[in-house]
Amino acid sequence: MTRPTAGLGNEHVQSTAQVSERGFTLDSTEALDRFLVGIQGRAFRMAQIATGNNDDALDVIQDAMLKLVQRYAGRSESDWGPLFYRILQSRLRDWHRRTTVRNRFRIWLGTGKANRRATPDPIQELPDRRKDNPEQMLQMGRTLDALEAALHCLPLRQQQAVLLRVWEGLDVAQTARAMGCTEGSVKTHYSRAVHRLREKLGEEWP
Amino acid sequence: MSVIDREKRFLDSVRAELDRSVAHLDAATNAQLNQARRRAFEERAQPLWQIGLLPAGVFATACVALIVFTLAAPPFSGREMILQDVELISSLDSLDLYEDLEFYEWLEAYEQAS
Repeated sequence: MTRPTAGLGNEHVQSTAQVSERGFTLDSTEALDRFLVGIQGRAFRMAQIATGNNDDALDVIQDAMLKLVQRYAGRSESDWGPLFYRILQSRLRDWHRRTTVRNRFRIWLGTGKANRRATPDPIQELPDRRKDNPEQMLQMGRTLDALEAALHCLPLRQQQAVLLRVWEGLDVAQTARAMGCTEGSVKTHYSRAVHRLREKLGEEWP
Repeated sequence: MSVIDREKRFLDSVRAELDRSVAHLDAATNAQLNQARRRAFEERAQPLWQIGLLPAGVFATACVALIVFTLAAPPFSGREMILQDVELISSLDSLDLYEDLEFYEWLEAYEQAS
């Protein structure tokens, strides 16, 4: 797995000196930077699968990173993982709510399908991964694309449960904390998600 | 092969494919992620008065949105639905509490678990 290796530049050392007056140390800043370097690729892919486009995924990731750095840098390193995923899942839910409300107003204001021909919205013009067909992709030998399309078809909560459990390796209790729901809900979402993934991808996948 | 083995094999494959997708992230995306991370550290060091301008701007925008959407209800959906949406967008009371809400929820769950 590729891990971006960029560390903190000089400007960060300088800002660390300022921030250290508020109680943060150079060591904790470097440790937090290393933590984010290690997690950013997977976090981006999770956000990309949830939002369906790169720009929104990057915005969500930046927001989650900023929140972790601003609010929780002083906490112990073992807390950063659960906290980061808690923030990320919360941001993804917010994104879905905002998108739903925005689309409702867009239709109400008459900037929906009727006017889109005149002034195309670049975000609206992006391919909708929900329309991708996992079965067709499998036939074309696109294993990863098929998996992504199948994941994107899942409701957000099922998607979150399966990615946190299977990919991040969180146990049920940790996943429940990250998702802000009960352990029973996690088990239900996870079970349904795995069932639907297998249904979509078939017995022979990958 | 048992059902459990088949499921384990399936989930291992899911994990491997997702790992592979991260390994093949393009250079531009990796650069943007690194930039986002650096910006998070830079913004942490910003003066508090600059950060305070953002909630003030959001509040002003929300007030305008509230007036516009309250006066002009859409013909096809209920006024109550719109007010709920506006409330969702514009609720700025106890901003500090909301900003720390994730932490309090997490802390409560963490303490209960341990």
